[in-house]
Amino acid sequence: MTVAVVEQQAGLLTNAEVYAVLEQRGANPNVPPCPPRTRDPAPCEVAVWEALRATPAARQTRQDIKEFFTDLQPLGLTKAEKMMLLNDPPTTPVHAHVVIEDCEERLSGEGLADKILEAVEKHFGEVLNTEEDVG
Amino acid sequence: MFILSVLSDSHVRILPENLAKPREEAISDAIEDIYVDKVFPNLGLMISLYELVHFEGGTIYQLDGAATFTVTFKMVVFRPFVGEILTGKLIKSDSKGLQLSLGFFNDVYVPEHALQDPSTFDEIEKLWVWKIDDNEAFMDMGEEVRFRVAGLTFPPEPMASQVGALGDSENESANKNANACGEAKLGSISRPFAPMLLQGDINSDGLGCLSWWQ
Repeated sequence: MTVAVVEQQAGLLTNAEVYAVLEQRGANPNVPPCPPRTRDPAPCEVAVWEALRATPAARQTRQDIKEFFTDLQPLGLTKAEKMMLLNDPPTTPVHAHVVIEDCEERLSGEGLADKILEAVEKHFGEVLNTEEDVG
Repeated sequence: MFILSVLSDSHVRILPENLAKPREEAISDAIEDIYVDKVFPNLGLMISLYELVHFEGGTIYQLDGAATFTVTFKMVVFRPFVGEILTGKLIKSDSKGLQLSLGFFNDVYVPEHALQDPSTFDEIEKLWVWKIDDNEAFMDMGEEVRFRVAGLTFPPEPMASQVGALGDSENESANKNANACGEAKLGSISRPFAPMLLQGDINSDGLGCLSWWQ
């Protein structure tokens, strides 16, 4: 077999990171690829970019993300949960409960969902509200 | 949704016509041509080349004009984890369940047993309906649906004998070779082969149409 998977999961990528990578590859028709490429981006790169453009990932800055994770730090969430909260920030308690398993029992049930919603509002409130304005 | 995977291919050929290109560019192009937008079995859908980690070789084998390299590279791969919560658009409904689309990936299926309880299929509207507190919540086409990833499967490629022959007209192939369930042959236009399938589940609070929970 000439092909082998050396490492199946060398890392998790947030939607924001994938969006940035694809933009660098030239998937955004308004932004030239960096570094410059002779070829056009592949159709699937453009398709994923377009799908992500409609999500908050397209407008989350590195700074926002870093600060969001810092705020989530004391809440004892798993890596997977933090990723989901970043990719699709919840704005309702019911959404937060669906993402975080056993939300009631964690952090002695003291408003874990509320703390998450607060962090989302603080760092991504603007990003989520401008979602309609997809340029 | 996305992961970074490291792969290694010992048979990356740079064709003679590309040997004038800078090596990294030629190798990247060759890798992209082979891997991008393909499903790697048991791994996922390869979206993009992230970076070349290492390459060596450039051997020219006997009777071959191409230079063969061994390349280690990182790819951005679409591979949701089981338990991940995602949102898709409803593109198809039938008695077996729902089909959702993520925009770049359409093979997301929610079987009827994984729908909100109790749900029934309305034969007239051809839509699924969730009966909640005496209300009937229809799952309309195009609605955004939040679901949990229940499973990820990579069905094996169908064998030649299972697939309709080239040259058969679409109807002929589908009717004459339909299997016991009356389904068209796998690989035909009406029943395309999907190398990667996501199974979804929406039977929980907060899952299902976004409009139900706002």
